[in-house]
Order: sequence, then C-alpha cells, then structure tokens
Amino acid sequence: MSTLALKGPSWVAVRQHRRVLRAVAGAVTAGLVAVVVLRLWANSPDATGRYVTGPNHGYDLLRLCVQYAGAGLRFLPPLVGAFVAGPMLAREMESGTWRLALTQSTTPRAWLGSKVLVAASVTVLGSAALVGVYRLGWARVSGTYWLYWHDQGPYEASGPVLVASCLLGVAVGALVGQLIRRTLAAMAVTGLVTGLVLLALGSVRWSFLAVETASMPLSGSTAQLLPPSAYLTDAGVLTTTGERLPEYTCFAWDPEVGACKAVTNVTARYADFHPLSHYWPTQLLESGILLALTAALLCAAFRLLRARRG
Amino acid sequence: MVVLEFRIDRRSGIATYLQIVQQTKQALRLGLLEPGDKLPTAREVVEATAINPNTVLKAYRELEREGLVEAKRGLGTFIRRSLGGSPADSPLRDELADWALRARTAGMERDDVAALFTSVLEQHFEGDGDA
Amino acid sequence: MTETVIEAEGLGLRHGRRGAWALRDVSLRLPEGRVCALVGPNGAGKSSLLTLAAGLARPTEGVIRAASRETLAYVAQDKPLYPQLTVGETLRMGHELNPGRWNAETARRIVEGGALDPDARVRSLSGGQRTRLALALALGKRPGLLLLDEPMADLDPLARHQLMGVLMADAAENGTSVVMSSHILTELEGACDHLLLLDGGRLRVFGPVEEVVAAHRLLTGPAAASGGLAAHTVVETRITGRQLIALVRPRGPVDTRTWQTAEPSLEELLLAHLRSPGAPVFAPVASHTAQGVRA
Repeated sequence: MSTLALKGPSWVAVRQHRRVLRAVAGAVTAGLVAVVVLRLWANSPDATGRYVTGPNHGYDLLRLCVQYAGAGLRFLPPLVGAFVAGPMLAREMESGTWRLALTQSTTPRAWLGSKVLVAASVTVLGSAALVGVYRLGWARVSGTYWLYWHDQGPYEASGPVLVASCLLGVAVGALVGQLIRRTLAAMAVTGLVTGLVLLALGSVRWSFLAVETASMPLSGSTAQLLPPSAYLTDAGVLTTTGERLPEYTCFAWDPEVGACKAVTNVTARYADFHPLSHYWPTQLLESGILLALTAALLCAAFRLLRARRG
Repeated sequence: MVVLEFRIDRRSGIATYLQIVQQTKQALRLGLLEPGDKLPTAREVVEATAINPNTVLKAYRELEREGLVEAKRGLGTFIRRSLGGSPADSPLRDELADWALRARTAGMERDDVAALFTSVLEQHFEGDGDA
Repeated sequence: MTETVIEAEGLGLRHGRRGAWALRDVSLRLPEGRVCALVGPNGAGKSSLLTLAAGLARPTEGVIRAASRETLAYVAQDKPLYPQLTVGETLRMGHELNPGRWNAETARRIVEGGALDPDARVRSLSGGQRTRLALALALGKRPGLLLLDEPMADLDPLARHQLMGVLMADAAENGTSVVMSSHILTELEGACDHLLLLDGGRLRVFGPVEEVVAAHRLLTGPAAASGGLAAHTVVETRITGRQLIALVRPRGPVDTRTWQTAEPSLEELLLAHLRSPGAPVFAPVASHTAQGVRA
C-alpha cells in the first residue's frame, strides 16, 4: 500500500490504519500461496476431474480448506463493517480525536469521505482478490458434496456478492459508527446488523429468478429429470388436474399399472430447479440489491454528518 | 543582538508595561543603553517573558511619547536620547551621602529616612510620571 | 474599528433535552488580535464555550459567530492526537489537512523546542510533550483565532513559560487572537489583555483587563458606614468586627474621608465575584452589543 500518491485526509486515514492494510495484503498473499501449494499437491498424475482414485491427501486437504474458507468468508462483511464502525469512526468519537480532525481546514464531509473511500477501496480490492483466490481453490473441488455452486459458502465466496456484501458492511459501519460513540458497541451492532441483512437477503435469493420446472412420467427418477449441476428446490408428483403433491404421496406405486397406489390420479413427477445458468444472474441481482442498500446507507451517513456538523 | 532583557515580576503590583518603561529608563541612566541602540522587538520580548504583546507595545508607545525612543517602520524601535542621570560620583551624590550620614547620626531608622526621602520626592516631582 | 473574532448572543448549551444548562445567556464580542483569559471554577462552562466557538457543537439557543474552520485552531483539554502516528507523521498530517495554510517551519520550531524525536510514537509521549505537539499542530495552521482549553495544565513551570512565550510571540507576529481557559488565573495573568469570567454557565465579567480593573475599587472602612455603599454597585461586602471591606463599581466619587480605597488585584476581583453569585454582571462591551442588536 503506497502512501506516496495519497493526499489530504486519505493520507491520514491510510496512515492511521496501515497495520490493518498490511494485514489484509498479507492475508490475501498467504491465501494465494496456500491454494497454489494445495492445488499442486492435489494434482496427482492420475486424477481425472473431480473423481480421484485412491487416497489423495492434497485433494482432501484442499477440499477441507475450501469448505472452511467458504464458511469463513461469510463472516468477512460483518467484520469489515465492524472495523469501519469501531476503529475507524467510533474510536475517534470515544477518544476525542474527532475534535482534532474536525477543526482542520478540510471539511467534515472530506473527513468521513476519506475514511469511506479508503475502506471501500481496500474492501473492493481485498475482497475481489479473496474471491479470486477462493475460486482458484474451489475450481478443483467444486461440484462435490457441500461445494456445489449454490451451496452456502461457495455461492457467497465465489462471486461479486462477496464484494458487494463487504461494501454493505462499510456503509453500515459508516452510519452506526457515528450513531454509537463507543468502539466495542459500535462494532457489535454493525456486525449484527450486517449479518442479519445478509441472512435475510440470503433467504430470498433463490426467489429472484423463476425456477424452471421439468416433468416426467411417474416411472422415471428425479435424478434423470435434472440437468447436471442443477439446484433442486422442489420435487413431487402431479395429478391429472395438475395439482402438486409431495413426493412421499406415491412412495409406493404399482409398476404394472404404472400408477400410484394411494392416489389414483397421480400420473407424473415434477421438479423445480435452478439451472447452473442462474448462477451469474442471481449473483448480479443480489449484488445490485446490496449496492443499492449500500448507497442508501452511505447517503444516510453523510446526511447525519451534515445534520450534526454542518 | 539583544541589548536588553526585561525582568517581569508579576507579584510586584506594578503594571507590567510600567516595569518595561522603568527598566528601559534605568538602563539608559546606567549607560547600558545608548542613542542608536535597538530595543528588542515585541516578539522577542514576549517570547522571553510570556507577557501580552500589547503590553510591550504600550510600553514602547509610552517611551516614544516621552521622546526617549523612536519607532522606525519595519526596522524596529531605537533609542533617541540618553537620560540625563547623575553619574555615580557626581557632587549631588556626595551631598546626599552626607545628608544620609547626618540622618543616621541623628538617630533616624532606615525606614524613617526612606519615608522622609519619598515624601520630599513626591513634593518636588509631583506629576512627573512614574520614573 | 477592529474586526470581531467571536460574537455570541444569548448563547446557551444544554446536554440532552432535559439535561442541565452548561452555558446560558452568554452575550459577548471579542475583537481581533486580543489574548483573552477564560477563567472560572471547574464546571463553569469554559469548555462548552470553546467547543461552541470551535464549531464542534451547536448551541441549544442563541447564536455564536466565530472564525471559520479554516482559520481557527482548537486544542481540546485532553490534547487529542492519533496515538499510532509518529511526531513527524502528526506534523505531516497538519500539512495534509491544511493545504495552503500549513507553516512547517513554525510547527518544527515548537516541536524542536521540546527535543521531541520525530520518530517517536504519539502514544509514547508524556503529557507535556503531547501538549507541545498539539500546540505545534495548532500554530502550524497559522490560525487567526486560537482556542486553547486548559493548555498549560500538563506542563512544568519551565515548559509553561516557554510555550506561553511561543504563543505570545505568535500573537505578536501574526496578530493571532487567542482565547485560553484555565481555572488558575495566575497561569494566564500578564499574558492576557481580555478577561472572561464564567460561573455556573453564566457570564460574570467580560472586558479588557485594564477596563475591568479600573471599574472596580476595594473599599475599607467602618461597618457602620455600609449604608453609604448604596451609591455604588456593590459586588461583595465582608464585615470583620467593626471593619468592612467591599468591592464596588463606583458610580460616582467615593467618599474618601470614610473609605480607604485601593485598586483590587485581578485575583481579588475574581474571587469576590465567585463568592457572590448574585453580583451584577460586568460586561460593558457585551451589553453594548446586546442593545445594538435589540434596537
């Protein structure tokens, strides 16, 4: 992180937090090195794609690491937010240094602006780099149990949603850090709020795009119904009138008659699913919503500053 | 070169600007300052004494009013004339010494002599200012 | 007519909606180029007034006009600085945050006067060194108005004298207006030409020191003659046995046959006002302004 080109309050913000900036750069580099090493190790000569013959400790370790990394990266946005709210903002209030900062020639707007700008820049660069590193590792093990594109973890860690979520953290932090003047409390509240927003959004993300539905005669199996890598959201049986019934309704069916024993008018199976092609549109839609939220929160943060400090 | 350093005594009860005026005059009488000498600038005085700059300016204005110094714009404040004091070995001093000896022989205390001297001073130099 | 650097009218500040008033009904006008002592006991509202003048808080009532953020410097009581920066970086910060104003030479001189290592971290500095650095940061900005909250509290006598000298030199050289608070008057006596006494959030005395002192007389006389004081504005009377000592503002000639008069010291004057919370306010300049505004 070169401070040579920086000027004004941005220089100050970077100088204040340079340890954290170095730590971010260090973490990304360490992650990259670890992934490269693990991938080289996992690439045993006879390994073909995702199926590995014989024990492959490199592959197993890579898989484990990718799993934990995916789970861990979900905590990145609350962490980023907590940092902005606590050490960057509330601590200035708590320790009184805001009175120093806000009586310099630069405006309060520039003061908050430089903090948000530095945090956002580092966040975008850092989280994008982490996404890259994650994808590098994930590419080798994706499509396996727990590591499908739609699974929690890989989904959040492998695309722009991570970057946008981290930016949301920055915005929540910029607002909460001004409202709560105690460092630890501001950090806790920001982490919690960011986490809850992301959970809420995560619970509705698979409703952004309409699911695709496939149906087939009762005698087939759902597995044949789905394209490879599809994310199955619902499956069941259909009656002649088109009514959907749970799959267990026809747990027992008569292959001779070709019909369900329990309910006679069941004739077919159906499956609702998101095909792999929904990955990018969903990522982009969710990122868009997150960025809109971020913009609104930043707007509120600057309004709050203006209302208080003019 | 700073030719004079002022000593400010906050507890003396004498106004600060008067202390500067008095000390300048004292230095003139003792020949420590001569015409053409430059007084320290207000900045130099306040940096050394931590007193208010306006106080120094007021003292210098007073000295200027009495014709002792002259402010040259942009250059500083300079001594214009010396004070006609009495050198340490003047006849006046000898007479005063004689008088003091007589007062003592007459049995007067130091404080009595000082009070007497002050009252005579006040009688003859009334309205002459503080120097 | 000189410019005004601080002007307040009916100024009041309350913390919270139902909190106590930290400052109430303060009206004053401080001309440019003055060094003003802001004195009063702890909790008198000194810090509140400085915070308002620095634009860091908004008045609950009334208005205050002071120098703009670009032209004022403010050093809060706890000398806030960023602990993770070094001394050199703190000065660089002054340059970065005050583009076009920063005078590195002034700041460097003050810091070097205290033998501060430019590479030392702020968190490792002593109280006196922090004060020095905070003052360097404030003066390096070349402010027109310098607001200092208890600036000398952490300093030993030598550093106190030296830094006060630096402040006065800056005032002499650049015509900087200075307002500095203290609850110890002697710390500021001699350095200040204006006096502002606050007590319980209210303005008690304000004006040029000479004018304030000249307007008061300390009278000593027989207690039996106390009725004669009614001709003057009485700040405080104290009776010991048959003797009466009064601090008054004469409204006419004082009867010198009954009263022995003396000019009060600044300290006597302030103590008398603090002991008599009901004494009338002395602020000729402020009241003049208020009338002007009302008319």
